[in-house]
Amino acid sequence: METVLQYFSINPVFYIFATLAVIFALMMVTSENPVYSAIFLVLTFFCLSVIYLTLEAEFVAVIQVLVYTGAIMVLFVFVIMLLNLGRDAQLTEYAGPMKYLSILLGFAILIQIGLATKVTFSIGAKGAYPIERVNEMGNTEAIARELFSQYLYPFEIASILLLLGMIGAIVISKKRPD
Amino acid sequence: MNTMLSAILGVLILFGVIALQGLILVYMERKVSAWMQSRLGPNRVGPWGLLQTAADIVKLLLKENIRNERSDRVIFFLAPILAFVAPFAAFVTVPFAATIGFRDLDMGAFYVFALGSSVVFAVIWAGYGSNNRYALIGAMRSAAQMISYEVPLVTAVLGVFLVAGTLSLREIVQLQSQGLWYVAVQPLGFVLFLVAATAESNRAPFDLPEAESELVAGFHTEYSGMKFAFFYLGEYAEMLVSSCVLVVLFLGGWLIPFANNANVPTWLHLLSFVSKVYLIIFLMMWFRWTFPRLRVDHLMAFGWKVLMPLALVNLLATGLIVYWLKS
Amino acid sequence: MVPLPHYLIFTAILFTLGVIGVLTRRNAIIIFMSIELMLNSVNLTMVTFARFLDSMDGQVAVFLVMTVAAAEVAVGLALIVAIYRKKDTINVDEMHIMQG
Repeated sequence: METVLQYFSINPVFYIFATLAVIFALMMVTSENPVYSAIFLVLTFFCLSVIYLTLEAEFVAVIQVLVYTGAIMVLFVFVIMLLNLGRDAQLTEYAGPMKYLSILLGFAILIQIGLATKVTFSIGAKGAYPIERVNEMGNTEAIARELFSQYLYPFEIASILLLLGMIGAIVISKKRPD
Repeated sequence: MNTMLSAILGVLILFGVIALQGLILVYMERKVSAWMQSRLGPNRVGPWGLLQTAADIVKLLLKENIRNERSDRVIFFLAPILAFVAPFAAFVTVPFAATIGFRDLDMGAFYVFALGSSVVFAVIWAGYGSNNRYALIGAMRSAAQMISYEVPLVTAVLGVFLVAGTLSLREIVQLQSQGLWYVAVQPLGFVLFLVAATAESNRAPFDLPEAESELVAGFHTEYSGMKFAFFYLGEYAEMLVSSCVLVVLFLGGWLIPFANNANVPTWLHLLSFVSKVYLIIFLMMWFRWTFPRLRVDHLMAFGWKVLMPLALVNLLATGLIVYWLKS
Repeated sequence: MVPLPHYLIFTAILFTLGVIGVLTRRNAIIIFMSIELMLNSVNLTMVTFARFLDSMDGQVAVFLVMTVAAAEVAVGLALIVAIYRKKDTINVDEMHIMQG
């Protein structure tokens, strides 16, 4: 099976899209208007999808677009428009001086994670799916083999969770007769 | 660098072909609608009115590009581009004939659906960016409709994937060459997919986002000139993509019925593919001029209470039968 | 191949941006989106490790995380709609009826 990944394994692709993703994520966090936030988050997700391709995880890349941008973000935008949150009265926020403390805290977390990556941790045992084998059998099949054998119960539980989420959403957002 | 060059060349050819198809489809839509309403349709510009759409394109190019003063400049600009680019990119994985096609992706079918589901953002951005009540209502309807019909659309084709055991569009066609076409194996899936795909490309009777008689022109009320043309072209590109996927998944792609497909020249395969796609598009146009537009609540009820249970039943039955046959 | 630490630093930055979003913003929808961003950065970490360790477990985990995220968004947005109907705002600072 031919792969598109030859294009994506080239180094610059990762750096370009990583930079873009960080910029879009920053814009998402700082935009006043939730509609803009949603747009920038969609763009971030697209960039992440390309980065999944650099890791040769085709299935996750496609599912990322299908689930996150196609379903979750549409839901977000729908709610924003339903509640008309783009209007000016909704945009005022009073975060106060705690805001700066939170930003500092955020950077503390970043430094902590950064330090953790500097430590030369011993890499564990290699798994059963080297990239040559995955490319030969296809990424989708490799995931499916794992998902429906070793992870069958988590998969079933996830499907029950989805059903519960669906019921919960309907019950919560239903208009009750007062 | 050679692969890069051929990729760019391929994109240019694809763009040319789709733009041409757009021209043909607009002409076809007019002629078909005229035929169904006992009119003549375009017949002044060129022989049989063939140049009418070309003249329209020139008109659209020369038109002034109007933008609402209080519209959102960036979003307003991006929406028509996305509306065209997303369905356009979906063609990358469609196999046109045994040896013609850009890339055969491992999960080609999901790739097409993923791009199809991002088209809704073009409509939403257009509606929000225009700063117009009608456009916004159209956008909201579109968002609700897309979420509701995406689910039965994908669930309906899961049956095909179960039978085929692959997500690659080319392999699905090759599997169909060895036995029955999947329209015979999955008749319910075919009907569900056809209905849901019509809804996904915002065609009548599911054209609520742009319902002319209620919302002026829906989400593209404020668009004019070339930007409007992009929306128009995007809609036809989306229609083409859905028909191509439908033909590939259910109607045997490039295969010619009742013939030995092993030693048939490629151009005949291509002809077979194109004629099947046009047959499906004709069917969609037929829908448009036959059925009246649905009401919003009927649309939702139809999606969730009719299509969705049927798709689930289809999936369950297919799964059971496949399991029974294999064990 | 891009070295492993670069991926990790990238996901760390995304995660931090998500944290800052949750901590500084008061708009419930944007807080929610920041949480989605954090989930995504963790997803990317898992896929990265899966790739570098020749394993599929990470990608399967991402699949499950996406399922949970979808359910979470459905319920969370329903909650936001319900709160908005009651209080006409989605500013999290004004959601304090549970306080004594």
